[in-house]
Amino acid sequence: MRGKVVYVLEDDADISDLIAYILCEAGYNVEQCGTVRKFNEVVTRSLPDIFILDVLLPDGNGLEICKQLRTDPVTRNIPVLMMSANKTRRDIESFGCAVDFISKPFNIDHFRQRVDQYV
Amino acid sequence: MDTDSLHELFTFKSIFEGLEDAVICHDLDQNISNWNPAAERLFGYTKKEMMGKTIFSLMSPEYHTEQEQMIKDLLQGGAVNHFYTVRRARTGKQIPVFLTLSPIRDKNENIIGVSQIVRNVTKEKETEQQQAVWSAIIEGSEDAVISKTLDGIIITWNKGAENIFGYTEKEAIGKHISLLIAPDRLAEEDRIIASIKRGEKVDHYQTVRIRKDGAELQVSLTVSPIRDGDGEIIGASKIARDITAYIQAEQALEKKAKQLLILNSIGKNISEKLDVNAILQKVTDATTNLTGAAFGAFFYNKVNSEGESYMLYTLSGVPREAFAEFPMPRNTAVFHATFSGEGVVRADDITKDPRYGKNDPHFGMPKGHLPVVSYLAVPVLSSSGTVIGGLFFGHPQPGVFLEEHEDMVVNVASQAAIALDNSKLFEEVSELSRKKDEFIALAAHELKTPLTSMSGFLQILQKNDLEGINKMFVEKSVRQLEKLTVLVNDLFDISKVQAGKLQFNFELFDLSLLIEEICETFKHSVPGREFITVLEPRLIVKGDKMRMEQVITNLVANAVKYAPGSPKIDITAAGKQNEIIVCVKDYGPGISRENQAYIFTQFYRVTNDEHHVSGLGLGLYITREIIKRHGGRIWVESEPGNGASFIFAVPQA
Repeated sequence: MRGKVVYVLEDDADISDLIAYILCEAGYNVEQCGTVRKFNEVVTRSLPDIFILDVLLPDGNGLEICKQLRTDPVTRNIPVLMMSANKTRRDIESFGCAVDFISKPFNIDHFRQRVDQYV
Repeated sequence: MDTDSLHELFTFKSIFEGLEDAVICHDLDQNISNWNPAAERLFGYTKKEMMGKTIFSLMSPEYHTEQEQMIKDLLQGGAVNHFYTVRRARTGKQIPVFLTLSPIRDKNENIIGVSQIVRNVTKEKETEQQQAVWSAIIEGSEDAVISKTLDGIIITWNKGAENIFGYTEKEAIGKHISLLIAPDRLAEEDRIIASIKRGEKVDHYQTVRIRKDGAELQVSLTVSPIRDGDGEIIGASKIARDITAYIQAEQALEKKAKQLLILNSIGKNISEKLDVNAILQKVTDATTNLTGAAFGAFFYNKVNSEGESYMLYTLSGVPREAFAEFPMPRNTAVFHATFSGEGVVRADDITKDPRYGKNDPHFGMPKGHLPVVSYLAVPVLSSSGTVIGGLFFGHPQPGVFLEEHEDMVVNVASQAAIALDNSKLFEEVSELSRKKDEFIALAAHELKTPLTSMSGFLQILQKNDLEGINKMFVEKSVRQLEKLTVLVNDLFDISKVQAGKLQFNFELFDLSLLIEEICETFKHSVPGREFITVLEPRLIVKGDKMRMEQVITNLVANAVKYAPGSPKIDITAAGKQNEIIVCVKDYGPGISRENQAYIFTQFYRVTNDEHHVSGLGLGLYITREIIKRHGGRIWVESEPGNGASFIFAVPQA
């Protein structure tokens, strides 16, 4: 069985690698994007089973992307997990993104369980 | 002598002796031949003493000729009736009298003597004198004394009335009193007359009357009924006092008191305010009010003192639209003294000022400008001496602004300058504080990024089957990173608290259960300490569960941290009168009274020489903020040496 696909949008290479490591260990296929531009390219090519998005990005805002994904009929049913060091779940919700949220730094087991529950 | 004659004689004698008036008879040589008891009472001499004495002994020498003349007149067939003169009593007292002299004739109708009836008119004389005194008083009175009939016709009119009302006695007498009354006050007179008819005096009635020249007078009236001899009311006497000056003085006093009140309140008012616009408006309103200006404006220099950069800020007495069409006042000849800070400009008529009308393009007030004749302009200088603005007042009438107004505005302007300086300082501080919060938020974010990867990688390492010293080191690193995360989170929270952006998500939950869970975690993570909980079940609060968890965790962690020697920590929670009281008690060194006062303030840390404990001094500050936002309170109870109890109370849902 082919592993589930996770797209990670995270500009910090170490954090991105950390997430990739945790999820690969758990049997996922991880596509890492460091910029919004790259993310958009990847998304137009194919779709994952879950998106994991950071908020502050060098060329955009994860919350905006989340909103787009939730409104686009093609992606609206794909689960999104937002991550942030500064924002809280409430900030995310008040922005209009009713999706799951995990704050940085996180417990890696906890992180993996969050992803597992969606796929 | 027949019986009839005898009878008549006795009758006369009886009358003679019973008369109230003194009756004296004397012969033509003036020798007294008869003297009745009334004469004895009047003069003090007995009949016996006076018989044979001359009538001249009853008068001062200056009246002798008069007496002789009277007798002469009488002998020539004349009559003396009610002749007024003065007689002298035994005591020497001069007695005013009326004399009526009648001749005494013999059988042949020859005059052989004179009878004098002497009527003592002392009382009448006194009354007359009194009247003279009264008229003199009335005539000399500065008040108007007027009498009138019940129909309102003026009967008497004194000098005071002439002075106050401007009509002469001749002009006033016979006229109706409405001469002095404004048409709209005629009803007053009816009410006054009605009182008089009832016999009631009207006292100190303050009203307005009209002078001959049409000027209004403030008067105080006292009106009393005039009665005739039978007590019948036949008219009214009226005393009118001109109280215009008094009223003016009273009004001036009242105005002064009002001004003082404004002056006092403005200082307090503006010093409490930090918002520039609020200060400007307050100052403009108050000074416009104080000066009696028709309109006032405060031009506040927001930019610099280059001369042209003034901004219309606040207006009083006119709507903003009244000035909306005009450009900002420029550095013209009239405005120069104000905008350069040279001094106050006060003009009774600014259009006559040499500086007026000198500048292009308007040469005076621009078209459509509010009509300014009286003009007052006061520069507002900051403590450093720079011009920060100007207060301007106008009035369409000339000569409205007096020196006292100038003084008051200068006084208020200096207070305003202080308030504006403070406001500027406050703005600067607020801006700095905002930048600081922004920086902290940014720093916290930047710190968390490496924390996230470090903590993640260490967790991965931990999962490898490490042994011995490696395992221990990794575990220590993980724990230190957790502490570091808490510190960074605190920093982040504080920036939010300060910016008023700490968000709360209120829900109903069981605080008792939450405390239980937190204490379980502590039991696992801090072995070797006893966490003793006494919790009343089901303590429902409406609160932010995450923030409340932060509070309790912080209090318990503090107890662990600051009371390292305390073997146990007691955590209790109970409902009490609509509140839930939670207490975390340690058995450590306790907190001195001095430290207790500051412990909840930002960046404050208990100094303890024995052991240094790490931290930023933010935990309790944030804790208190969270409790406050829950409508609760937090405090500490401690006796140095006997541990400390941190207690908070939040409303029970």
